Amino acid sequence: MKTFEGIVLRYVQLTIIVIALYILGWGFTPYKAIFISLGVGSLIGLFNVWSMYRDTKKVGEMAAQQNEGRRPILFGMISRLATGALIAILVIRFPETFDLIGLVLGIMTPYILILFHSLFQIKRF
Amino acid sequence: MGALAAAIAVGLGALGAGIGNALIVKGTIEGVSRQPELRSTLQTIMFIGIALVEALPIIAVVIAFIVM
Repeated sequence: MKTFEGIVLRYVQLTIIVIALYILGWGFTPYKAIFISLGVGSLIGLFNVWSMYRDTKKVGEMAAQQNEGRRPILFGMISRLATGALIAILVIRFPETFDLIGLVLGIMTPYILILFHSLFQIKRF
Repeated sequence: MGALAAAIAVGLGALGAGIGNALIVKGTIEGVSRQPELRSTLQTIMFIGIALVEALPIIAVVIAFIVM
């Protein structure tokens, strides 16, 4: 199995590819609010992926006792839940620019990619 | 009533995510402690688990703020 860092990098690459598709949709289709919402939501989802990667790495180091004597700072779940609040604020503040469904699907894009990628990995083994 | 609904949505979502994350991290730490050479594999599985657990509470927070 690949390393943890390699797999997270693969998730980031897949998300960036999907964001590029969203930008193409924003540029070439009349549904600009939806695609810009998907793109912005995916960028916020990328922050969540980075936050989870950082916390998972810190937990692994703590478990392997490579962080003796120092208490690591974990972003935790609160910052990731706060991105949901950020989405709601964007929709309330800029209703003519952003679409709620688009933003929610956008922030869920990395999570959906993680789910399908893991299912394909399980099927392969 | 909107504020109450938002509080219940966020509270229960955070409770579920907290319990789920705690169980995942507990299993990961136990696994890494027993077999440090499997750290990378266990971290990957922990990452996928946390992603699946936290997806719905994030949507719950969005709905809570919209309702409020």
